[in-house]
Amino acid sequence: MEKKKSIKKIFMKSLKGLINALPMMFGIVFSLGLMKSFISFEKMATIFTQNKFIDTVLGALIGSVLAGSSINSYIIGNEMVISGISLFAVTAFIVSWVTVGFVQIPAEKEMFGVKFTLIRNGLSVIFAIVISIVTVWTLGVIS
Amino acid sequence: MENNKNMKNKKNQQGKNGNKETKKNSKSSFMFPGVVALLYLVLYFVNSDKTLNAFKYSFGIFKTVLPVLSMVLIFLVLFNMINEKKLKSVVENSPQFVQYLVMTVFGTFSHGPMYAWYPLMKGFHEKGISYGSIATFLYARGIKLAMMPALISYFGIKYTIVLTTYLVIFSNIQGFVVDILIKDKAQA
Repeated sequence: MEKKKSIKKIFMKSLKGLINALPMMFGIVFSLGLMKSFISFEKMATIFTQNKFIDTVLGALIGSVLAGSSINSYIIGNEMVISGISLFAVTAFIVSWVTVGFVQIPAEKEMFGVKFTLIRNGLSVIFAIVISIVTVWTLGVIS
Repeated sequence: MENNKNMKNKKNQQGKNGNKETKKNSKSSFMFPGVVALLYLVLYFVNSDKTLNAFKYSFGIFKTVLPVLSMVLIFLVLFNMINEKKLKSVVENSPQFVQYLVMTVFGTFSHGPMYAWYPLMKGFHEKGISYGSIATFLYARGIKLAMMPALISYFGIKYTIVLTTYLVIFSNIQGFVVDILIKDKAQA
């Protein structure tokens, strides 16, 4: 009887924790809808300059702003490669798409604090650039 | 007697401060969704079709997020069953790199959007898991096992293996760097 009560208490505590996070999740999901509807990727793609370094930084930043299922980043990344954008930029774009979340910053800040959120997202943007460089370099060495 | 009174006063004060903090947190957690709702209202008058599409698209996302949230709830219940003192002693006694490796595996196998896992990660931190380990988990979520066939079909197997290997390595590096930059180990 005592055990049942304690499990119920734990369940309610867990449920409360999840419910507390719901308003922020609503905010994120609905802002994703706005981004999908109002921001055209075709317009964004015209930003790329054919300069490998600048494009890599741009790829990381655009990937950080956009969000959604990772398969979308692969499809867009493939289109970028076909249109002549460097693999450095495409890799930075794919990596930052799945590891950085500018849209999620308000929720992350709420949960873990400003310092953690800024450091984690900042590092993730830098790492997206570094990973793109080492990935393309490694592929070059292997080939 | 005097000591007992002081202790009671201290506890009451802490309780009041805790309540104030909770109220402040719940207020600010409604701020962001409030701003988004306002944006929808304004944009509806600018372009009603696009705004309605955005609304429909968001509901579509919710359908995919709901199963993930139920999984998160199960994890939360299981995690809340763990004895805090025991977990803290295990965490304190195990080397930091083991924590990073465990969180990398956990992050790799987790599904759904990153934000769905925030409540569980917050619970982890409250029970003694460092911010670095949480950062490792969140970074390792970039490794999408279920999406790997798609990545292979678009970019080839070599690219997929190299990229995934670097994502694993850098998720551990990120945890390490975050723990250096944020000294606050844990609240527990």
